[in-house]
Amino acid sequence: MNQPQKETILKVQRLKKYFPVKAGAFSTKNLILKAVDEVSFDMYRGETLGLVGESGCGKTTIGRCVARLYQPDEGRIYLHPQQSIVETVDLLDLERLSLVEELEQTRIGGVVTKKGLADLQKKITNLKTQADEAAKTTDLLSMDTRALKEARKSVQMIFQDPWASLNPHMIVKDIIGEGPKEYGIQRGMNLDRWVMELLDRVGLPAAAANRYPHEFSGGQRQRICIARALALTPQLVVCDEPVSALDVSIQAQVLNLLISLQEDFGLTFLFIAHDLSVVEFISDRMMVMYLGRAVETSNSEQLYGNPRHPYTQSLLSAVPVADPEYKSEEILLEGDVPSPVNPPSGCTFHTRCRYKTEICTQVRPILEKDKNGHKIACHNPPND
Amino acid sequence: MGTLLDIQELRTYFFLPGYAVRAVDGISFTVQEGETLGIVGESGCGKSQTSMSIMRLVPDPPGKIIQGSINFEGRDLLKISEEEMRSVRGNDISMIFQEPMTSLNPVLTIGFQIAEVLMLHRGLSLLEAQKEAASLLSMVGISDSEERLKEYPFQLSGGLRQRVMIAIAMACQPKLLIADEPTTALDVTIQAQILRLIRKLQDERNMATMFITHDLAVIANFTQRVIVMYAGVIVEDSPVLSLFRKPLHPYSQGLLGSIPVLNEAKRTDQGQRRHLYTIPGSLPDPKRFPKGCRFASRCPKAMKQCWEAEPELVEVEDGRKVRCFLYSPEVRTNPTVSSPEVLAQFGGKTWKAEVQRREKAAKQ
Ligand SMILES: Nc1ncnc2c1ncn2[C@@H]1O[C@H](COP(=O)(O)OP(=O)(O)OP(=O)(O)O)[C@@H](O)[C@H]1O
Ligand SMILES: Nc1ncnc2c1ncn2[C@@H]1O[C@H](COP(=O)(O)OP(=O)(O)OP(=O)(O)O)[C@@H](O)[C@H]1O
Ligand code: SF4
Ligand code: SF4
Ligand SMILES: [Mg+2]
Ligand SMILES: [Mg+2]
Repeated sequence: MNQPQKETILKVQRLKKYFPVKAGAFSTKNLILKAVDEVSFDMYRGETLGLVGESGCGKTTIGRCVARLYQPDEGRIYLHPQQSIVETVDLLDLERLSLVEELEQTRIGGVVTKKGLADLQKKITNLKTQADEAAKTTDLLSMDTRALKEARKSVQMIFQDPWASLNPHMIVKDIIGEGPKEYGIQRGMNLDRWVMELLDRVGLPAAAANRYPHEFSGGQRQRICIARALALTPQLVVCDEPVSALDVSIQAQVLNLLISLQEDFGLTFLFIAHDLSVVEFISDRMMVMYLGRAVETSNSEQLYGNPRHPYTQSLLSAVPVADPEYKSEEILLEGDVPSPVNPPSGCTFHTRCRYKTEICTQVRPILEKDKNGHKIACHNPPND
Repeated sequence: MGTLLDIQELRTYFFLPGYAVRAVDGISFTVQEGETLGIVGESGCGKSQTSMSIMRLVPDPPGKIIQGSINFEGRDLLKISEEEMRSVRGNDISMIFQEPMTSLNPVLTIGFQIAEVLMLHRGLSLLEAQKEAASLLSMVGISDSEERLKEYPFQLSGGLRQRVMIAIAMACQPKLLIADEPTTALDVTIQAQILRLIRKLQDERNMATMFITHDLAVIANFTQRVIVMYAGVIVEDSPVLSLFRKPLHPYSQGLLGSIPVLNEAKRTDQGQRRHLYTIPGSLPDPKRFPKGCRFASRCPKAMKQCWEAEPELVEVEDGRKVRCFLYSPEVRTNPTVSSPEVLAQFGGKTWKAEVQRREKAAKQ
């Protein structure tokens, strides 16, 4: 095979994002909600990775971590990763994580001296510093503030709600020009011209520049959001449900716009949506999430043609498809999604899974290579 | 199967200072007993106001039903007293609204709200009503229903609230259920559960349902017949399968062309990314609809006559009605315009491919 090597533009490793939540309305006790729990994935230049899963499974949280709107609790997000650095850091991180595990165990076991604990703690801190130092040129999470500010230009985000994500007191020109202004590029005349070019590119008239967001329809506002996201000429754009709030025909216009922009600027998209036909249409590869974890990744045709993970199978079978002749055999998903504050042990899907066995309740399955280039996290992958 | 609901020439306008909005502008259709009818169309085309008119809940002022008849089991709902109408609303026709939170009373428990309906409309005693409320909740798939009855709406998730709304709607065993975007605010899997629930109840009780939605996937899976609305009028009325196979009206064709279809090749043979078909332009201003066909400014097939007169909704084949001059006898026999037979060959997906082919050819 003489295909050009795919260039990895983003590498996410063991990403975790926890939120503290109150145990009850009047409680002062804090619990931990694991919104994203050890998720790893790669993104290649020019591709679209679709992220799907039920409400609350952590899709938005991943997007916001990648765009650095959230500070993750653990993990690495490499922009333009370098193999050698990734390997070095990985070794250090893995060692540290196993020590953290050990620390937890000894705490529970309780047979260790105070000094022993302190030593372990120190070792962990050391490893973390070492790894951060090694990763700091490409890892968004350990960069210093200046490097991060620079890197953030390359990663932009489009939000679900075109009504809420635009400042109603600013005219469109200032909304789109805000980013470039902050970064001090394209000053004065240049900035104006750049904004006009962007407006033109997203299919809005030049006259739109001096109007306020409320004067536009939903589809037009989403175009403004897209222009704003493109203003800093990013390489990666996180699109969080960009068409969910739009009418079918306008949805098609915005999807087409995203596709042509991607082709023209070589953009890479992380695309989040709950409409599976839409994600399938726009994505090259997909990742399915359940309760903060990735359960399956594959290219999108394969995912639909031949889903492998039990959760993916029932998710796809439950969702209506816009074709009255398409009959999927419905695989019932029993019960509700368990609480992410107190997720089931082992495989978090075991409470609803038809293929569950003993091991599923005890051991967490890891995402590994399965048939047809899929990766799934499952102890008993069902036969075709 | 008898006719349950028969609507003729319904017009509902909103009278605002200086102008009127023609939200529903002369629509006629029927619903058979036990039938599932879908209504689709762009935001603002009049779907909700059609159902509000049937329930006689159009906000007045500024809204007013200015013309038409709504025959329900032989009675014109527009002619009966408000008191009689209230009994129809409770007993015969129920409605589920898009946002469940706004239609439940936030300061009353779920249990009280269901029991209230049961006492009012089915004349049950408080004790009987409470018992029945619990069984209704378990019918809509809510476990530990006794406990849930004591809760307030804000304590429930969106999916649970929508189920409660369905339980209330079902409390009186209606003959017609109107569901206005019942699942738009919900998650995919919850949406599937709710739709399945409605279908199950419908089968068990031979209840007719009107599904209002802009989600074509819901239409494809849960309805038997579809009405496509555009700018206050019906442009196509057809069995669901024929509509998806071969949409007749240019607007229906555009609508079906603009949704992604599963498992379709994403790139052309040259490796170019495929685009979706889009309908150019937007709905005409309901304050002043243009002369002629309301879709003419966006229609790729518009002819001279489309700008001069408005087409009627006519039956063109068995059980299919369409409002478009392409299907009038004159055009059919006039070889200078593309005949509907030719156009109709490109039903559903193949039609979409045809549009893409033509666009490409036009570019070259
Ligand atoms: N700022 C926050 N504080 C506390 N919990 C949060 C916060 N943001 C998200 N969560 C919780 O984290 C989990 C994941 O949320 P997230 O918004 O990422 O889900 P999602 O997959 O995007 O869902 P949806 O499809 O509804 O948008 C949820 O349980 C959510 O309640
Ligand atoms: N209270 C009102 N006052 C004035 N105009 C109204 C009012 N309610 C509705 N309209 C107008 O009536 C027309 C039809 O509205 P309707 O709510 O029936 O649309 P719809 O098809 O249900 O749209 P959607 O998909 O957005 O719910 C619209 O042009 C709308 O602006
Ligand atoms: S690991 Fe076990 S419980 Fe989890 S999906 Fe696989 S079979 Fe089901
Ligand atoms: S009547 Fe004319 S303009 Fe209207 S939909 Fe038919 S062809 Fe198009
Ligand atoms: Mg989200
Ligand atoms: Mg509506």
